[in-house]
Amino acid sequence: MNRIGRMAGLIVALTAALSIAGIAQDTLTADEILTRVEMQGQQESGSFATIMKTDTEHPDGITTSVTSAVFIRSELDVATHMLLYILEPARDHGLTVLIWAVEGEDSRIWLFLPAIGDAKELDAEGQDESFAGTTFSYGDFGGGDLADDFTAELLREETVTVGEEEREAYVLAVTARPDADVDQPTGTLWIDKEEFLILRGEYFNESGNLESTFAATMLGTFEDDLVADAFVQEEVLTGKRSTTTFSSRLRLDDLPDEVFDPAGLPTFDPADWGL
Amino acid sequence: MNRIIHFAVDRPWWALAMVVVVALALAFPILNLRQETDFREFLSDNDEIIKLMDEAEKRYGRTMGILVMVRNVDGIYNPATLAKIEEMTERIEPLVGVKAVTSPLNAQVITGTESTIKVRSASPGGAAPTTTEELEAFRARVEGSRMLEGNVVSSDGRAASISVELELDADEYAITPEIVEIVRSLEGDGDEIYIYGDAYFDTLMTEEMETDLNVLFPLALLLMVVVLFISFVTVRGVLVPIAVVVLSVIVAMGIMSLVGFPMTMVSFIAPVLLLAIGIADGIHVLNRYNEETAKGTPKREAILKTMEDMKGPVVMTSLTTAVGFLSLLSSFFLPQKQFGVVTAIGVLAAMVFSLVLIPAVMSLLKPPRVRDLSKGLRPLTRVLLGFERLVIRFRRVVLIVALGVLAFMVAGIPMLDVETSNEEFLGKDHPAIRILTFVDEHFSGGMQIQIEIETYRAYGLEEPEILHKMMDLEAFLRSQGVVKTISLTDVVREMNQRFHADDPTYYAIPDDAGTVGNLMWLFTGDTGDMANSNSSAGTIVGLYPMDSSGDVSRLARAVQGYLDEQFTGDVEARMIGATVLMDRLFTRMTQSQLLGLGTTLVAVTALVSLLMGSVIAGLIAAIPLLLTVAFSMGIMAYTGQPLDVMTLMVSAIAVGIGVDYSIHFISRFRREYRAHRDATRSLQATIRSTGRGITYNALTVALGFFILVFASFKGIRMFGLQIALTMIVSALSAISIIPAILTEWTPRFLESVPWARRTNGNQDEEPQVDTHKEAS
Repeated sequence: MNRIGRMAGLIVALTAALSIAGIAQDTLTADEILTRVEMQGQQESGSFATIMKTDTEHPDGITTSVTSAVFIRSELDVATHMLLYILEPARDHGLTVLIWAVEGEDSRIWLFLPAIGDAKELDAEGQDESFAGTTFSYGDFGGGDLADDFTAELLREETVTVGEEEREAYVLAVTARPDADVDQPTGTLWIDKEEFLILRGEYFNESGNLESTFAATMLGTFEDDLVADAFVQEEVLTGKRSTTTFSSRLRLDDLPDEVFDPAGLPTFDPADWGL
Repeated sequence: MNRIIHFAVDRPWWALAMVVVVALALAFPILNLRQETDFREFLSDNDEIIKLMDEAEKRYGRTMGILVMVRNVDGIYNPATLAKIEEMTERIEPLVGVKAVTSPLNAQVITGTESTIKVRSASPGGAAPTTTEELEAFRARVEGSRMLEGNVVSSDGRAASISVELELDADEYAITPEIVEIVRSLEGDGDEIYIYGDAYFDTLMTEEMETDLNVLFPLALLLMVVVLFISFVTVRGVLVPIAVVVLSVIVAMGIMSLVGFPMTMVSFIAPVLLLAIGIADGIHVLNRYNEETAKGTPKREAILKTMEDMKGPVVMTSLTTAVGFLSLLSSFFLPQKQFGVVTAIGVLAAMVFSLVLIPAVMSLLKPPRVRDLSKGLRPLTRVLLGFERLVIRFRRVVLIVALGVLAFMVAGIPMLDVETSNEEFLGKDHPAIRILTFVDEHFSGGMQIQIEIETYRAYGLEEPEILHKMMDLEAFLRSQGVVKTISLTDVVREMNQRFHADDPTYYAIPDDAGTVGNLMWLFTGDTGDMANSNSSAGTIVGLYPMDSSGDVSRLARAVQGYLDEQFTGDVEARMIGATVLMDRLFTRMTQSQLLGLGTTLVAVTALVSLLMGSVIAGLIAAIPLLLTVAFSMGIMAYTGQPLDVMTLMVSAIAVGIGVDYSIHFISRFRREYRAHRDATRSLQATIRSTGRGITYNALTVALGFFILVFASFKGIRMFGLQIALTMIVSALSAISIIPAILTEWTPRFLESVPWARRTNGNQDEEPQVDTHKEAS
């Protein structure tokens, strides 16, 4: 099932966003704003890399941390390939997750376990499993269907503070469409008026209770576009909270197919590609 | 106290108005009385066991949801039953608050090939198979999965379970009735369906408690009306004592609600008990009043004389009865404590109402027409006098027989089992027990033993030597009757096999921690109670059928011994969860009840000694109590009836109520002896008055408790029977052993006046205890 949190998602945060400057914003309806947000998640063609670090505070009081080198090759309206190479913790160093998100097809995921030596395709009916114990799942890496799954209502406009920065935002109430397969049927989103980046989100379960939240905590720019350098996702009901930060964002020359070839995972080295 | 009595007699309307105001003020809070059947709520938040459970829950989360189980004697692998399972799944899934529903059809089966790890539903799309081929393929997948076989489908293929996982904030009590409705609509055609869940059980218990109370209270009331009518043959003789007990019930229940005590499986019988216990004071006072008016004493004087005579016995017997119930405060089990406090309040309220309400009402009504008591004897008195003649004649035989009975009963006590299991309390035919039995028979068992392994280092639990140690422990658990164990070792071995193309030789713990870590990657932070977030600690869960609480304790002790011996290094292991909780509950419950019994005996003996101004008097009064306690326990031992959560309280309560008979008897005998200095004559006088009162009193209380045999819960039924029996034994002891002792030795205290005080030159004034004489 999809989660609204997905569109708060990682792709947007990981990569440069499609420029939407020049669109007449004054006349946008709530649903059009939602569409713009989704366009924000569709990358221009190109290859990117970044270091992603996620610290997760678990309900049992333990904090775990996972750091990955992330490589993305995006072909607009065709496919997105993503490779996550675990750097930390040391026991998982070299463990690699490969994701193919081909337009019109279900995402495919491979897992390379160094201790086993083979890459195995993870052929699951759902992709709801938590990624390394964090608040997001494998499915969250696959992009979002925000405008398809939800309708929106513009509640108001307000100023949102992110770090030391104040941003003007649309506040939308989103509701799942009747046929949408979603976990959280309603939510409230704070969307940057200029860049259509989700700054904050509150997501409610079927009982109408707040289930999870998203908040950008640090903004930055990448190739002149607004990006979230850090964000916090919290599962309110369980108390689990993940803080994700990005560093070393790079635009690379187009990454070759061999990087995203499951058979090549055993020999992949991020240092060969700038990280 | 005299002032209060005079106030009631001289200003009866004021006294009645005050009683009505108090009753009304306390009646309204009863509407807010809540019911509580959650076992966990029965222990204090600061209790060591609760702290342990809270800590475990915080670390590993709460895993219990609702289970729906289907049984078909011909097997569940048939299209019709599976279609029902699919329908139930589809109808339960959309309910608000339901997070996920896992059935045999949609349960995930993990398989591995050279290139793929596949995670699929046991039946494609979670849909019920329709063709023979689909059915066989589904059956093969389930039976081929260690994770499913014996868990979602029983090993014999005749039962299936549907697990309903709830949202963390879900209201289980709101969801359960909806699930019950769905389930009920699909029962039949050979399919039996059971629901297993806290809320379902709580609802069952609550409904039965309400039904029992609605039946037992009116029944007890009716019984009391009959007894009172036989005793007094007047409307006032029925209504006045009934008003006293009903008011005392209102006070007890009202205060119970105001202080926030809930109605529990133990305390819901308090109103019925208060009827039986509280009626005695009213009977005694009215009896005495009738006796006085029969002499032709003017009304006001008769009331004051009655109250002067009766305030002592009413206060003393009420205090000792209250002490008996308050001894339950020594229990660590909250429902028993609350039951003790509430009933003691009710008893004391009955005392106050007897001393205020009855004189007020008597002063408003004309004196009753009663016959002259000096003429003739009633049959009961004749029987009692004959009995006493025998007691005096064979008093040494009586004492030897009593000693023999005491020795015989005490000898049986070591054989007594303490059995505090649910089955013992509810009875094996109770719906909740039938469900638990079903789980025992088809799904490894309804009891859990949970052992936490703590390594104090991140990923310590993934070290192969630790995993091997856990497997050894699991093997030990199975050798002790645990049917199935669940732990990280299962997942590691399972994943090792799946990542090696399902080669069964890889169903083993890998040799290095790195491989284990890699295999567990997919489950990082998502292993439920098998491991905490960084795998520094986790639990082994064992499932087993619970035959008896003794078995639970034996298992707990055996496992503790193993843990003490095998986990001595830097890795610690400790039991948490249901088994250790119940073991400690059982042990502490028994200990606290025995302590309570000892405390009650000492307190009651001391109280009687104090009130009678003689230690010897206190000790003599305690003798029938010892015999009663020994008799109660001995009978249970010889009939193979174990002590349970209710019958553990019998002895302490019996002491509190039963001592009344000793007090009545000794006090009256003492007064007569001081007047006549002739033991035989004193005994006859005592029997004619007090002996009859004791008999009526014991029969009334015994009958009141006997009503509980109509309760739904076996524990309550046995409790009622036991108390009824002990009341009879206690009364019989009081009118046989005490007279035998008093006439054999005529102790010196009989000649003295307890706490004598000089009032208007009267040196012979004492708190007189009981003055029952023949009254019509």
